[in-house]
Amino acid sequence: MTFENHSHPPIRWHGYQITPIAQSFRFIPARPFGIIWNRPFSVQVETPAGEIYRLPIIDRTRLIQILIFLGGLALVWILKAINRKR
Amino acid sequence: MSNQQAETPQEADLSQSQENVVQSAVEFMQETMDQFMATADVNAVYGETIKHQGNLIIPAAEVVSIMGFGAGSGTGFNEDRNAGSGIGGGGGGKSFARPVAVIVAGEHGVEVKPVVDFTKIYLTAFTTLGFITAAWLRMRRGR
Repeated sequence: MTFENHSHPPIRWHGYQITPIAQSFRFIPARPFGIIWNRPFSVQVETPAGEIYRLPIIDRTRLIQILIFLGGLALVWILKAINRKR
Repeated sequence: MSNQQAETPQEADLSQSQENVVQSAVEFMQETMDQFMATADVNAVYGETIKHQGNLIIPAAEVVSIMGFGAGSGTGFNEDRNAGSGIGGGGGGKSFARPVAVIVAGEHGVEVKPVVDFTKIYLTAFTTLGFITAAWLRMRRGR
């Protein structure tokens, strides 16, 4: 089970150097079986002035899905608490 | 008297064809495994760059790949004590890809614009709503 970051070859555009970075999760317990989850992680940008910064890539769809799920769990917990008091 | 008897031409042909089948199965598995491992490559996540109206667009997607293989062989005897052998194998796999964001580079800088999949969000919302309703009904019955 490994987590690895891989960098894309840098792309130059209008003086900016853009390096997309991906993060992969590998779970290969036995050679003929495995799961690989590969996702965009961040973008490293080098400005024409030489400043380097990183922009994170946030998966909004997943974030909203997790929030809905956690909201549902919280609501069930509140309903249970109200039900016990009665 | 030796237990091992000389192979007849038919048996030799059968043995050779079985070896060929095993060899081609191993090659196919190796090829599929290589394709599977390519999922972990950075190029699987970031697509081809697109130039549009002075901007550079790089699409980014999440890729999930699941794969499994299995193979086996065996020998046995039937009721008439005739020996036989067999080999078999199987496998399956699936790859999913979903757009996550686009990286837009222009004259004034680089931006990451998220891609929101509303269908997935609606499905999650309805599923969660179903669970909440089921839990609430169970609580009411339990009173």
